[in-house]
Amino acid sequence: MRDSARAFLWEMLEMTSGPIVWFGHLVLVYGATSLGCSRQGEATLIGSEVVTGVTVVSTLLALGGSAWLIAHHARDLAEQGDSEARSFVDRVTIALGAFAVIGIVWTALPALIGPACPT
Amino acid sequence: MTLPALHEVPRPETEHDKLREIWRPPSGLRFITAVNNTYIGIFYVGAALLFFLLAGLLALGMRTQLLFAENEFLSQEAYNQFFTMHGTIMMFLFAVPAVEAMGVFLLPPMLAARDLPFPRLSAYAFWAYFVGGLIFFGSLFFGLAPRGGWFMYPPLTSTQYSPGISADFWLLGIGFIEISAIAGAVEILVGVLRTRAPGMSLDKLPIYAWAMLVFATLIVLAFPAIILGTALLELERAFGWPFFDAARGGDPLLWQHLFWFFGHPEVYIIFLPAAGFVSMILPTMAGVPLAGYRLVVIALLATGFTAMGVWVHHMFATGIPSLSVSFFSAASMAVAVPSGIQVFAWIATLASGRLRFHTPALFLLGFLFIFTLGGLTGVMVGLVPFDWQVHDTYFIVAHFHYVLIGGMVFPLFAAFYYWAPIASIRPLSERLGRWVFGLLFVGFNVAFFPMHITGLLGMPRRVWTYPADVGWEGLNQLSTAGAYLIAAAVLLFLIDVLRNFRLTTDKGGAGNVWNAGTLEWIENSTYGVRSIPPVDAREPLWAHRDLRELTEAGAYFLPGSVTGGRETLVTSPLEGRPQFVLQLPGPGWSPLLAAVATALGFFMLTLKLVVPALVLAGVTVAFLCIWLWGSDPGPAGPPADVGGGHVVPTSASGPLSHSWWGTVVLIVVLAMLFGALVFSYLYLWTVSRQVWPASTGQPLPAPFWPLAAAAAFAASSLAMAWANRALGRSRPDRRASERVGLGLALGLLVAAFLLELVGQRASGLSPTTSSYGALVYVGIALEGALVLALVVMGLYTLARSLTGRLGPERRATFDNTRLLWHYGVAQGLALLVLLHLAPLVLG
Repeated sequence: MRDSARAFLWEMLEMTSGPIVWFGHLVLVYGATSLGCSRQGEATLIGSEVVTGVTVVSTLLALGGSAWLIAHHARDLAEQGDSEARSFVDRVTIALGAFAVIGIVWTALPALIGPACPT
Repeated sequence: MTLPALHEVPRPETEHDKLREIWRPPSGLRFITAVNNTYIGIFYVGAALLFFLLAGLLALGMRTQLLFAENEFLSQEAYNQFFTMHGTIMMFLFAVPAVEAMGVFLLPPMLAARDLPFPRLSAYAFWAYFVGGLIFFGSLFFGLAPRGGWFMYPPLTSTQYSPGISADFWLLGIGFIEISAIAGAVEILVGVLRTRAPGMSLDKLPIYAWAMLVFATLIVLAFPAIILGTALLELERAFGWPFFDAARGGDPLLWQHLFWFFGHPEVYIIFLPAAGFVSMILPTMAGVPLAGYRLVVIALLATGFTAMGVWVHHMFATGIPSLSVSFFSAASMAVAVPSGIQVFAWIATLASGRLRFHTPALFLLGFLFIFTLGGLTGVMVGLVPFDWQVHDTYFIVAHFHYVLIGGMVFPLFAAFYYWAPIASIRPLSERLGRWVFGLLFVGFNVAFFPMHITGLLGMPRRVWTYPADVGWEGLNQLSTAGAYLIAAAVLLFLIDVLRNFRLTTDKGGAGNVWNAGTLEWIENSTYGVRSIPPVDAREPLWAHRDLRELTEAGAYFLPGSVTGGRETLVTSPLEGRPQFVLQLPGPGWSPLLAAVATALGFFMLTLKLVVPALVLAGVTVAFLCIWLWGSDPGPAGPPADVGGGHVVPTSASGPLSHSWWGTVVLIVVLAMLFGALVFSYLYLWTVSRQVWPASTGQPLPAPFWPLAAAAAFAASSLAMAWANRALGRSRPDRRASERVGLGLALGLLVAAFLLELVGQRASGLSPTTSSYGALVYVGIALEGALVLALVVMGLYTLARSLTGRLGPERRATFDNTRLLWHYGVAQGLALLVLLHLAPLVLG
């Protein structure tokens, strides 16, 4: 059982990595939109087609990362059963990863089903 | 089932007497020097209630003004001050401190700790908040109160539209009170993670402690954004550095981003602890464990994260790209998932048990009803087209009062009635409590439900008065009547408190009157529980019926004091295994005086009295050094037997030490502050490229300056590593190397900072010409503040070395300084990249 300070901090980071991935994805697609879609007729810094590209690629990466996280901890959970605290952390990691998947899909939908920069 | 005793009972009476003597609170007027949670927690709750009353009185003033059309009870100027102060006080001086206060008071007994790990930090945070809050409120009596609304948007709050010092009161006062909130959050985070009862692993943590973990994490992550925002606006007002002035490359929307990056999590900072109250009280009232404990933990964590990603939904009407608002609308909808999980878990708990309709249960039912309605209107305003229709109308006022009063005030009153028996020798009155609930519930709905309609009829928020022919008068009169019913409820509550609340800190309270299952219901005193019980269940008192008696008899961990002073047991963060005995400080004047000096220093800054402010800053640092001088005492003796065969040391350093954890949290705060600066830089670059060097031709400093600064930063870190190696060796002749290393690190760090500052000055860049220059200099100022703090810490560490207070066994001070030092260097290097490479790359 890893219970040292550094290992614990790392474990907490891993436990919350699903929502961290979701947040990173949100910031990325929001940033791309800010740079690519004009505000009140101003010139844009990147083309609007880049917005769609960034959204698609980052969504696939974020979903892939979350899926890997869930699978990795599901395997951990199946392999060890000696510590309730440890399996608790694994279960929370998996559930937060699943929540992140919902959040990522939800966030990406507006960009994927509509025009890149609607007016 | 009985948990076996770890010590023979009965214990010798002298042991208990000594424990009482060690933890004896200061008598007479010196009680204000107390630092332990039983005192500071109560002070904190009392102060938060005082500000609740004051802000409530302001609300009554506003409602009286709106009673009739074209009323003149308050002048327009006074009304503007009233609504600004009402919102600001309720959010910053009541809501956040109240939930933090309850945490300071409740967490130690709930975790079976003798106290939180940094008692003097709690005392400092409380006194800074209390003194600063009173000064802030006092601005009303001199006509100096701010008038820009609780979110103080520029350009309304710029010097052009808000001349004088009223806006400065808000900016400096609130920025400073937030520092106090962060201090409290550090205490709570480290306390929950490191001072739990042995065996209380994360899966057995009381759900309230989970809520407080998320709460404190949100403070650490979100508050730095508003600290930066208030600093930027104050710099613009005081020195003309244009961050929000569009004419010079600033953008008022930057303020809104920074404010709401803090402001939305703020709602959850208030709500999550209240949800923690609900998840603790409801199972007791229903007589069954909380349904779906694990799911509720997940929901708390998910809510916390989602709260960080929805700030733009407060800015739907600002004209930002419609796709951007769609992202945040979607994210806002996602909050409904974890919130729904919690609500269903509470309903399932109710369904699986048998609810006893005591006063706390009534407040919880009121909470469920009102908060759910607030959540529903929240989903409505999360939809962009609907938000555009009701933006800045009374519909929004109704929505957020349903969320905040329903989501926080009702659970808080439930908590007062529920936990009063552990703080008072008798519980609060059931009969009066029911009246308080009834008046509050009816009054609240009478006051705020009509506001939905008033808003849909078009009444804007914050209007001083309204014409008689628009049809708003009847609804406003209903709202005013409701407001007075709420006041009656609060008055009755105060009468109840005055009649029945009799504080006890040196012997037990009224006892486990609700037959609750968690550890705070074991008899508590100033020293917490008599002995620290091992934990193997989420409701230990339900799992082991004799646990309370055996704990009170001293059968478990630390029945006395193994160090001869105040102490508590530090356990590992995941499994809760005993790791060391932490020696705790007793009463003292230094936290109180440091806090008063800090508050007065900020007050002097508000009045633009810079020299007195600097003197008071020096006084603050002096008191901080006095208070720290006695800490890091080293081992009090050989490792001690704390019970159950656990022999643990009486001090720790490095990652094992509680103070190392506090430093890590501080680094996260600093990193978020720096992150907010980087965001501001990139944001203003996207909207104001015309003031960046590529457009203006402003030369960048010659490469020598950043390269020399980077080299000095790196060498400073290396010198610190060298000092660390020297300290790790026990030979006394290595002491000189350790001191030389520290001195070198100090000199190089200061040199690095000066090289960067001089380089920018030499390039001719001015902080007042454009937002670009202002951002460059604010980055340097931020690093400068950190370098100054590190210089003080370095000199302090050197002083400890010279006086024999530093050594291989007594090095927590050095380890913490070193950790922060390396962070300071990393931030300095990142700043160099931002200021020298970013303009080249971004163009």
